[in-house]
This record gives sequence, C-alpha cells and structure tokens, in this order.
Amino acid sequence: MTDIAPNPDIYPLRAEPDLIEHLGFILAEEEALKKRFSGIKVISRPGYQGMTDVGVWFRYPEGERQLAYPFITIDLLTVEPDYELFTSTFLQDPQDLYQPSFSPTLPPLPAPESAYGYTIREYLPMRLVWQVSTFCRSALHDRYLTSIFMTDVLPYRPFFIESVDGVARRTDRIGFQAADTLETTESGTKRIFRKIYTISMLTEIPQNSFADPGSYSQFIALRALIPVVDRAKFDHYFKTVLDGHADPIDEFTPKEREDAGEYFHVAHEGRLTPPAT
Amino acid sequence: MAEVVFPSTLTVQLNAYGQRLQEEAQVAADKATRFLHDRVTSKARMDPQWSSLADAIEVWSEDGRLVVGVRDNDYRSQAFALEYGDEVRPPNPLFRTLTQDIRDASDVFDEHMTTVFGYGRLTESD
Repeated sequence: MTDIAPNPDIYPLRAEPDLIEHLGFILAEEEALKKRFSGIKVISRPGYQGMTDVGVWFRYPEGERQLAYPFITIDLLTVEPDYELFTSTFLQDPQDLYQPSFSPTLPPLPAPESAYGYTIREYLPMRLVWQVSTFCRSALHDRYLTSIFMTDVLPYRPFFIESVDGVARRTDRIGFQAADTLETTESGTKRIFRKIYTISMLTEIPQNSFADPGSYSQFIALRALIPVVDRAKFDHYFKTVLDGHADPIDEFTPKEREDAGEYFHVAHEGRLTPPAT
Repeated sequence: MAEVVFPSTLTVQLNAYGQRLQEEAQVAADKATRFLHDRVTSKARMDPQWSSLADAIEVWSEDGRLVVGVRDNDYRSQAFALEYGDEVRPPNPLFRTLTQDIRDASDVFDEHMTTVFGYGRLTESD
C-alpha cells in the first residue's frame, strides 16, 4: 500500500494543533476549561475531615469506568463564528501585531529585514460553547458545588480563563439549568443531583500566516522609483518616460530623461527573500 | 420669561407618529417572531432526533421576553433530554445554538421598520 501524498490545497496547515501539548484552536481552550475545574474538592461528609476530589471528564464517563461522585462533565456544543465582531479585511503590520509570542500555532517571523512589506489578515473571532454539568449523589455536595460555581468558578459576570498558550480568553456564563434526575442500577433507583451550565468562550483563528507565499510575494516592494520632475513638464514626462515603461532608468538615457523634465531621481532595488518553509 | 409655543398641528403629528410607530412595531415583531419560528422548526426537521418534535416548537412572549421552546407537556421531557443529554445520550442542543438565527430575526424587525419609516424622518410623507 503506497502512502498518499498530502493534499497540497490544505498542507502545510495554517495552524496545526499540537495533540501532545494541547495547543491550538479548540484544544487549548478545552485544556484551559479542564484546568479550571480540576482540583475542586468537597468534604466527604459533614463532620468528617476528609476531602473528596471532584473528577472532570469530557462527556459522560464510559460505562466501564467506576463512577465516583461528585464529578463534572464537559461537552462541546458548538463552534460558531462571531460575525458581529468580524471587521473588514484588515491588514496588520507585523511590527505591532498582537501575536502570542510563545504560541506554536503560528510559524516564527522571518528575518527582520525581510519582514518589511509583510502583512497578515485580522484574526477571525470565534465562539466556543460548552455544556458543563455537575453530578452529585448528595444534596449537600450539590449545593456546595452550585455555590462555588456561582461565585468563583463560573460567575455571572464575564470572566477570563487563561489557556496553556498564555492567552486569556473572555468567557460568559449564558445559561443555568437544574436537571436533577434518577439513576437506575441493579441495587435500585438513586437520586442524582445535576446542574447544567452553558458557557461561551471568545477565541480567534488566524486567516493566514507570515509564511503564506501569497501574503509574502503579494505585498513586498522589490523596486521603487521616485523621479523629481519640473512641474510644468510633468505630464510630458509621465507620458514619455513612465507610462508603459517597466524600467525607465535603463530604457532611457540620462539625457533623454533630463530633456523630458527630470531633475534627478531616487531608485531602490530590493531583494526577494524566499518565504520561510 | 421665554415662552415656547408649539403649533397644534405638531402635537397632532407627534401623536399620529407615536400611534403609527406602535402599530408598525407590532407588525415588525410579528414578522420577526414568525421568521424565528420557521427557522427553528426548519433546523429541527433536518435533525433526525429533533424532527419528531418540530411541530411542538413554539415562540411566545413571557415576562416581556421572547421565548422559543417546547411547552406541550407531552413533549417537554423529550425535548429536555435531547437538549441537555443524559448519561446515555450526549446533548444535542437546538435552542442554545440560535445566536445567528436570533440576529437574523432582529434584522427582519429592523428591515420592516426601516422600510416604513426610513432614517431620521418624522413621517413617511416627508
């Protein structure tokens, strides 16, 4: 069986996620969420000094796992573009562009001298919406978790969650629902205290990267010519020397250009640096 | 002491404008509500899990707020289980993924009001 060549229309990827470090779009945000909910403890029972860790799972734990109450589940509901925050195509100067300096989702900038003329399109705002649920077997644990979720973990007002890539992302709690239920097992039916929180996180994805050949070759200036011409002869100079002539310095002698009205000129010849690979 | 006198015709015009504004706002709200209902039910019908509940989806006003959901007692628990999931099924949200649809409904409202009143005009006859 032969290897299939990577699709050149897609590869190289613009911002490939890192499955090991949990970096990149969606992975970094979910890792931040799990980190926020991890380490929460509840007292095992009233009057007892021991504490119980509250487990955190993506989706409801599978059947073969032994359920240890209380626990928290995270479900990704939707990934939506936030069109209201979209700007027109806005080209940013990389000299003052916001860019996480230690985010491996973007390639490193090329050498400084070849960065002139580089531009990058504005990031696209996206919204990630999750359902976060708490499951408790006792009412006391349920009220405790609800209390700290309301005040500290997922407060009413917008708050920021710092991701593993060092980016603080604004998060809003957009819904709360009590959804107590029953669990039927071989030993009988038990109450399950369940509370559901719906949260929305604002993030962004890049439209292109500095290494994109299109953005590089499209905007860099290779040659610039600034002729200083007698004002009265400018129209004649334009029609005779500039219009339709790609290289007027070499196509016309200095005498010809002087007769057409030129006093002097400034010319710059840049060098094309291959894009980073 | 300075005195400001308004002609009686202006008072009549203002009252008429207020009355017309109220009427057209109601028309615009009805249009937006129908639009939202059609959009949500269409989305429900395209989802195999929600399709059987599409006809039970309603849009109504409650405590001054526009609400979209399922009120029929025969279908409420099923809709709840679909929306929020359980230990067996993952959540399949319909009502929590309507952000763009609500914005589109708001645009329908604005479009009607703009069509009737235009911009910065006291009456449509100006």
